[in-house]
Amino acid sequence: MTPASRFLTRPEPQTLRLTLDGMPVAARPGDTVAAALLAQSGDAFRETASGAPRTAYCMMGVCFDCLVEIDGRPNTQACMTVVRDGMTVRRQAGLRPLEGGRDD
Amino acid sequence: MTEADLIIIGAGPAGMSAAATAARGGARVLILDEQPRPGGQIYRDVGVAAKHRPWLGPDYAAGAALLEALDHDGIRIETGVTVWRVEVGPRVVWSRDGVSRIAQAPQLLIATGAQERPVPFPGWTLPGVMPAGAAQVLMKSAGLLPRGAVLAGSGPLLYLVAVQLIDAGAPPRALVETQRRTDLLRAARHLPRGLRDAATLWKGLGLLRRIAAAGIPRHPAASGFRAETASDGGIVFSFTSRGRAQRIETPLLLTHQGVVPSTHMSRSAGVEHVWDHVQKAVRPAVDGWGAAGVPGIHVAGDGAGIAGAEAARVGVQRGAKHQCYAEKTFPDAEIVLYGTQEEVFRDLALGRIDAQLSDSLIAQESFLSTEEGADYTFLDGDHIDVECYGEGVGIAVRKGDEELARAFSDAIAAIRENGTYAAINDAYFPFDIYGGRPEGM
Ligand SMILES: Cc1cc2nc3c(=O)[nH]c(=O)nc-3n(C[C@H](O)[C@H](O)[C@H](O)COP(=O)(O)OP(=O)(O)OC[C@H]3O[C@@H](n4cnc5c(N)ncnc54)[C@H](O)[C@@H]3O)c2cc1C
Ligand code: FES
Repeated sequence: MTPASRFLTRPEPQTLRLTLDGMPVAARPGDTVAAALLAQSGDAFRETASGAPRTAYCMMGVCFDCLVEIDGRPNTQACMTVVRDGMTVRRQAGLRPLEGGRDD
Repeated sequence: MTEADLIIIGAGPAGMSAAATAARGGARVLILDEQPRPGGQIYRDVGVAAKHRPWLGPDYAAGAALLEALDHDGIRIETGVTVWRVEVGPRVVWSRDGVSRIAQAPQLLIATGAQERPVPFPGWTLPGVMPAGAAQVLMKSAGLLPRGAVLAGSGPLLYLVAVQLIDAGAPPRALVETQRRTDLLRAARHLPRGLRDAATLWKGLGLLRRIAAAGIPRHPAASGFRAETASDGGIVFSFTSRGRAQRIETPLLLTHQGVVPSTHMSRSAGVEHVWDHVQKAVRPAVDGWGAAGVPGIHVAGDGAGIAGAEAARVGVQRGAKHQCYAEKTFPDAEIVLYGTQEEVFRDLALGRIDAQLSDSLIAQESFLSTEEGADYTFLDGDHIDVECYGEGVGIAVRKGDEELARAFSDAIAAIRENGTYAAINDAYFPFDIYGGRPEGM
């Protein structure tokens, strides 16, 4: 079961569309990817190497708990990336090699 | 390579003020910030959010003026860029969208601000647990309001976020406080500069009154935090408050234990760092001008250390019992002495002192119930101290008339017990005029 968003539904129109693991996510212009994902659901953004679930924590670029794959680039800070229409976001499970791509 | 007279890392209040001042003096300034928009933490997204989100309060809107001052020919601002290295020169290496650049200038100002002190406890990394400041970022920059959040920890930002949530129509479910109320006054001098200026201690107490008025339950002196995931994905938060085990379910647990200087850049620059015992944090060793002992490098703002030099100022009437008590109880505060109680209240209203100590009744009648005192409130309950205040007041009876003394004592006990005293009390005073008792009496 996907936990509901931990935030109230926003009155402002959400005009942009991105995908998370292929599922549609609505976003508001100016949102960071982290904000858009948090508005959508209460689920984890990624799993650590040991399988622990993690979501954006600091929202200011310090903790790196919000790492996701954005348009094919892994280990991208969702809290520091502003959404663009048509963005493709994927959750990360486990480690990612430094040069990009996936190792699982 | 980009050229400038002064490079500033960080477009918070410190960096923005420095840029405007330097540009007015004729310097070419390059200001770099990793956020998509300038403003820093306190004024995050002030350019777009202040108009649409009035619940962030007037202190937040005040940041717009700082932002406007950046609109100057001598200032170039680059946002969305992360500075990741500072070298001798001084030279800074920064990148945006995976492309790195180098900028050099004779002077470099590091104004990278503060970050929240992490609050570790079992379950602190679970989805559904985040710092209160992070939630504030989401409120300011994305208009996202937490659903039935629980706020846990200590410090003025916790209360500020609580009131912002109340005003936004998303009141928190509860406030779980690791401090006792009297700790607040001692903590006053350790506030971030911005908070000290924007919300003095007494305004902070105005926040407490707003929280009480909204009926938010408060759990003081809490410890033993633990978070677990509930079956619906929410958080089960357990803790102990006043010795009793408590359990609250919430979609979002927001924690806060103050902020610490961000030292990544000053460390990269080779600046010496020291442990600050008062702040309980590592900060760069800088002089009064922010010079960091490395040629061309200065540090300003919260990154240079969060404690203001000022101590909380507590006013009392000279020679009275309250001077004795204030000096004994608030060794960290600056005790300001006055000839009359009227002067104490006047300076409190003028903001020259942060707090005052007097009889509750006098504070209530002569200040709190007046227009000047509207934004003020009592900090704490009874202060009991036999050395300064004596054992209290009593009724005198003829020596040896034990029976009459007992009759008075029994009658007082009885009306305390059956609610008569409380009913009379409440008709006249917003606090318990009976007072507490010294230990062992
Ligand atoms: C999360 C949070 C919320 C806060 N909320 C409030 C509030 O509501 N009210 C209040 O009075 N005080 C608040 N404070 C305290 C507040 O931080 C300070 O009083 C004030 O913002 C300090 O100003 P500053 O200019 O020193 O730093 P900041 O305002 O923090 O600005 C520093 C800037 O530097 C940038 N930066 C940092 N590192 C880099 C890098 N490597 N490369 C490029 N840019 C970088 C950051 O993006 C940021 O914009 C808050 C603090 C935090 C941490
Ligand atoms: S949430 Fe901490 S770096 Fe993104």
